[in-house]
Amino acid sequence: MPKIASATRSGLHAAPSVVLGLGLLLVLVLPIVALGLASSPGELWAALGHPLVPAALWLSAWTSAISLLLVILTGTPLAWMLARARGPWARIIETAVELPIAIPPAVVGIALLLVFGRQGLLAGLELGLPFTSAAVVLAQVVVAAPFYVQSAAAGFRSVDDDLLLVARTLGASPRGAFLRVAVPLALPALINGAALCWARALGEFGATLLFAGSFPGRTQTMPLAIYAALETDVRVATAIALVLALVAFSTLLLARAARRWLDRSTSPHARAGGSP
Amino acid sequence: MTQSGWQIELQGRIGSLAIDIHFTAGEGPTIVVGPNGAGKTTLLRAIAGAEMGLRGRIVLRDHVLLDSSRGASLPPEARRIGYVPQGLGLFPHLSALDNVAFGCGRGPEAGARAHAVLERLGALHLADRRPHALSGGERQRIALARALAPEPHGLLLDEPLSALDVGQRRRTRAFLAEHLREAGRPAIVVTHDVRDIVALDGEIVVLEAGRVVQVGRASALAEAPGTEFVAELLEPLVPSGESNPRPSRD
Repeated sequence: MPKIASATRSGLHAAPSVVLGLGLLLVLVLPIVALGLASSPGELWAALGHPLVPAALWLSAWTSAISLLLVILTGTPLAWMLARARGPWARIIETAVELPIAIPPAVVGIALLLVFGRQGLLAGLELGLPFTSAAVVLAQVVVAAPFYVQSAAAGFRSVDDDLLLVARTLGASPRGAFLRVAVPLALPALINGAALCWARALGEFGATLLFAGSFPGRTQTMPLAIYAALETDVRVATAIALVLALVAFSTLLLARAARRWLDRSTSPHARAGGSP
Repeated sequence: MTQSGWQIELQGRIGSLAIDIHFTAGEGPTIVVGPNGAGKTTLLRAIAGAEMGLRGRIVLRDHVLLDSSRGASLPPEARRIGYVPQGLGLFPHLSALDNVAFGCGRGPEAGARAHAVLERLGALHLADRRPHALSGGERQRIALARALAPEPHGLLLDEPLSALDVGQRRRTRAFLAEHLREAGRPAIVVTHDVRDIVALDGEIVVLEAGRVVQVGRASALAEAPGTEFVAELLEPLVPSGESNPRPSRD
């Protein structure tokens, strides 16, 4: 341990790399600090009472929750299939799933309009989806799902094939082996993916703006409310931004704590049995 | 007509390996040997029900596990075969007791049965530990207990001692040989080690490049090895004077 520490220290001792690293750290942290200092608790409280805020908060909460639920429900089986499948088709599908990560959200918004819009591919079905709360959910699902599927597939891939076969020989159905062996073993990856997915859904802006618009109470989520508030009252915008940042930060902490707890409960020293 | 032991016919292709395996084996331990890539693990996986790409017929006693000519293939969960893969395949998220209880159904009886099996194998003191808190030999015991707990018709063990250090290997080998005899059910054991062959004292099936090249008792095979691999493997069993026995590595 000391050896590694000293090696790392001497490796990073070169002044330029320290400056570069600290520079990035500053750029990452400074805006968040500024956000925290921007409003006093009193101002924050007053801003939260602004009519735009409760509606946006509530809309963001329930749409992102439904999005997360939909993603877990559909993304878990998809991730499992991707993790089990071999051959070129699996690779192609995997790339397709990752595409929304690489594509700018505004482009996703346009693409969604081209499918569900008045002149879109599925216009004949007359779903009337654009500019509704359902459109908000759909935009969030498309943009955020890849984060969950990617993480879940990696988690499932790390489950040893032999464990699943053993579970089957012990009488478990394919479903039983999945639920009793694969899911518990991939749980840290599933939680990590769900946290990333939810944070991404909560912050969704571009696709939502283009596909769902910014109607207070119906499609104006927190990020859109920040944008709308900027035009009238900067303090309201700052307050909402601070709330979003706090929520994101706690999600990150919670996911970390959950991973730690899971790691510890499967680590060698978790039980009174002790080490060999 | 009642039949005993194994009756195995398998043909097909797994990756680049052409499989054409035919043999019958009795109730006692059957030892499968062969060079790396000969298809030993594939054979065990096929018997367990994992290699769907292979055609043929697998019968254990009166139980037809696979009969491609009649389109019959039982899924792994219906074959009642205890399988211990090379890495043992213990569930890392479950205690030793829960590992053993996994195949004993649900409810309190499952725990009681697992308890009884652990007791029989002298491993009850390990019940609460997770697999990574166990030594190699202890893990081996739990894996065997888990495979035996649902009372399978047959057992498959893939290089059961390969992960152990020398001292544990000797102790666990004796334990394994004793309990395989006691369990009273046909077992197929893959090994690389001539000392396992001696301890298990069973019929040997030699696999090379996906085919059975020789079958017989160790003494007979040592006397008239069919291939260079067999000669090399069983050389320590050849009485001194006829050849130069290699020093034991144990």
